[in-house]
Amino acid sequence: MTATVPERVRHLAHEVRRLERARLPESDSAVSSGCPPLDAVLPAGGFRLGSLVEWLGPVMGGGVRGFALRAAAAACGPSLGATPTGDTPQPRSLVVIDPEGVLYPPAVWAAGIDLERTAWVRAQRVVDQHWAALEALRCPGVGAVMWWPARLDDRQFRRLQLAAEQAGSLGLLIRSAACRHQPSWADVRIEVEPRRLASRPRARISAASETRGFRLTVLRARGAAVRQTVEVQWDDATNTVRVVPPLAPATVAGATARVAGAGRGGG
Amino acid sequence: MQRPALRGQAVVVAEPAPAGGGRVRCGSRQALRLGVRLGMPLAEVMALSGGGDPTVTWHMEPHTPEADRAMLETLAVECETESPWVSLAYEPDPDSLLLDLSGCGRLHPNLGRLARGLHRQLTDQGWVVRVVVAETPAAAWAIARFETPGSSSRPRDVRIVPATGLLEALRDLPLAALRLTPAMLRQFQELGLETVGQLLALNRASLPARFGPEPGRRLDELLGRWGEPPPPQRPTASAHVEQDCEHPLTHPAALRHMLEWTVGQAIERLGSPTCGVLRLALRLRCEGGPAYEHEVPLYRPTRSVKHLVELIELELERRDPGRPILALRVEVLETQPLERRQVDLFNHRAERATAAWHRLVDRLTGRLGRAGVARAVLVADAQPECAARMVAWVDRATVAATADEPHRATAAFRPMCLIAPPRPLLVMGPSDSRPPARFGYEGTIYETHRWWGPERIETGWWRGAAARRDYFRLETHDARRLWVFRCLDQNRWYLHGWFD
Repeated sequence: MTATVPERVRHLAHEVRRLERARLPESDSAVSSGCPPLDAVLPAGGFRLGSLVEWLGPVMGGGVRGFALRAAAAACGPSLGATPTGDTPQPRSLVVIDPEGVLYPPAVWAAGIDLERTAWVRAQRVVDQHWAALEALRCPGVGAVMWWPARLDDRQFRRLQLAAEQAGSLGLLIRSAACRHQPSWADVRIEVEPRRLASRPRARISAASETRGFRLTVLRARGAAVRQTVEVQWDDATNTVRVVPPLAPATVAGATARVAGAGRGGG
Repeated sequence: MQRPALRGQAVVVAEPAPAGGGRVRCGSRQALRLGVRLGMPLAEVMALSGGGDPTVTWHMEPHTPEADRAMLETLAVECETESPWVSLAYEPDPDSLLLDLSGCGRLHPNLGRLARGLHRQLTDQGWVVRVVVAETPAAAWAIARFETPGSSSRPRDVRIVPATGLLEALRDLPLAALRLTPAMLRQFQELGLETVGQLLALNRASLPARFGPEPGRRLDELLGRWGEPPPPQRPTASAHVEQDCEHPLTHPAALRHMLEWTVGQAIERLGSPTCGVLRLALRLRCEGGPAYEHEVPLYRPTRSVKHLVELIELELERRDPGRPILALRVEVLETQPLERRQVDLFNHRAERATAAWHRLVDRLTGRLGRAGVARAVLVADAQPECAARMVAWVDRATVAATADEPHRATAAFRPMCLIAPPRPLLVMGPSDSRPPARFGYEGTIYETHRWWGPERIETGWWRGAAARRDYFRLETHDARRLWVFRCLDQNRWYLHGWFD
C-alpha cells in the first residue's frame, strides 16, 4: 500500500534522527546537567564530555551561572570526601575564568563545588582569558571550564570547541541572551529565562517560600530534532530543581499576568 | 664553640631591645647560674657583674645573626644522617632545626632512640640542646622553644610528645609560641590571655572575627588542622649556572637551546635525583639595557627541563626582553623532595590527570602571574566581602576544613555573585526600612515584586569602618533575584550581589 505523504514525512524524520544518533559517541561518556528535568529533554540524557555548552540568559540575577555550576559539579566528579571506587570516575578540577572576581566562593561551595579543586583565573585581557580557557579545556585533569566572555569571535569559539573535544572536558560558556541570534559553535545551546511565581506585588514572603521559577529552552543539541522547553522550580533551601507541578499556579512573566488570567477566565 | 677559651666563663650575648638599649639574647651556663636571665636588660647584667664574685670574668658579645645561621647550617648537615629533610626554623631569625621524620619509620622504628642519639651527638660537641618530637613542625618547635619547668622538674632535654598528649603539652605554653606579631601579643595581654590553653578555650569560629585570621591559623598549624607549608629545604649545593653566549641571541630556537642546557645543568647540580625544583630564577644580560629577571614558582617540585623551559618561554612571550641576549644565569632558589606515589597499575589515567593538572597550574601561573591563578579559602566572618579570601595557587598551604558551621547555615542564602565594593542604587520615590518599590541601576529601572528580609549584619568594628547593614533578597518585575542592603549609618541603598 502506498504510504501517504504524512507517513512518508514521519518516516524521513525518523531516518534523519537515526542517522544523526549514529554519528554520536557512546552515551556512557555523558554527564548529568545537574538538573534532572533538563537531562530528560537532552538527547544524551545529559552533556557529553568533550562538548561545549552555551548558556544564554540575563547577565545579572537570571540564574544562568547557577545552572552552569550544577553542570560543572556533575562533570568534575565525586567530592573530595568520597572514596572513588572502580566504577566511579576520578574527581577532576574546575577552572573558573572570572576576571572581575564576581563569583562568590561561599555560594559556590554551597552549590556542591569542592573549592580545593577549583582554580579562579583572574586574567584581565580577553586574549589571556581565551588562552587560559584553551589550556584548561585541553588538560585531562580538568572536568569543566566556566567562562563568561565579554566578546567571542568565530575563530576563538571554534578553537574552544576543538579544545573541549581534545581532552573530554566540559566547556560552559555563559553569555547574554542577546547573543541568541549569533552563530555558535557550541554543541548545546540552552536559554535560561527566570519566571516569576504568581503572588501579590511588593509582598514580604515568608522564608518557607524560597523557590525560583525558570524556563529552560534547549535551542540546539546534537541529536535533537526540535527545540525542547521545560519549566522548572529551583528550591534554594534544599538546592533541588524539579519540574513545575502541572497543578501548580501557572508561572507568569510581567505585569500582564492579571490581564491574561482574567482573559482566560472570561473565555 | 668557635672560641674554646670562653668555656666555663660567664658569657652574655646581647641584642638590641625594642625600647632601646640592649637585652640578653642568651648566656652561658655560668652566666645563668650567676643570675642572668633571657631578655634581662643589659644594665641589670652590668649590675650583676659589678657586684658579684670578683674572680669571675664576664664577657659581653654582640649578637650576630649571620654567625648563628652559619652555625645552624653546619649542624643541619650533621643532622642529615637522620633525615633527608632538614630546615632552619623559623625565618627570618631561625634558632632551631626542623627534621621531618615522615616516612623514616623503616630507618628509625624507635623515635625515642633516634631523639636520644641525636641529643647525645650534639651535646658531646658542647651544645646545649633540647630535642622534641611531635606531630606537627609548629608544635615541636613551640614545645622545644617555650616549655618552661614545672614546679618540681625542669623541662626534659629529650621529649616525645604522642598525638594524644599534644593538647596537654601545648596548653601552658605562652602565646609567643604561636609566632604572632608583638602588637597582637600586646592585645592578648590586655585581654588577659597569656597561654595557648586560654586561647584554645575560646570559640574557634569567633577568633577570625575578633582578632583576624592569624591566631586561628597558628592554632590550626599547631594542632595539624592546617597543612603548614614546609620551610624551604636547604639546598645541598650551589645550584646556579651561568653561560655567556658566543653571539648575541635573538632567535627563539637558539634561546630555547641555551635555556635547555643551562636549566639542565642547574638540575644536575642539585645532586640527589629525588630533589625537585620548586622555585627557579632566571637572569638575562641583554645588550644595551638593564638585565631581565624573572622567577618561576611551581606548584609541585619537578626535574623536568622541558616543563621549566616552557614556563620560562611563556613569560618571555608575555614580557619580551626586546634586545639581544648576551648571557644567561639560572639559579635554583628552592627545592623540595619529589613526590613519590605508588603507581596504580589499573588506574594510571588518574595519575596522568593529576600530573597534567599540576602542569596546568604552573603554565597558568607562568603566564598570568602568581595572583592570576588562585584558590578560594573560606573565612568565618559575618561581613560578606570578608567571608572568603583568595590565595595564590602556588602557595602550597592547604586548608584542612572547608568551612565552619555558620557558613553551612547561611551559605544557601548567599548570592552566587558578589560585587566589591557595593554599588549605590538610585531609589525612586520615598523609601523607608523596606526595599524600594522602584530603583535604577546602571541605566535600567527595576520594580520590586517581592522581597525577603531583613538580615541584619553589624560587624567589623575592629577593622576601623564598621559594617551596619540590613540585607534583603528581592525579586524584580522580570524575576531577577538581587541582594541589596540599606546602610544603617547613611540610610542609603546598595546593590551587593545577585542570585544567579
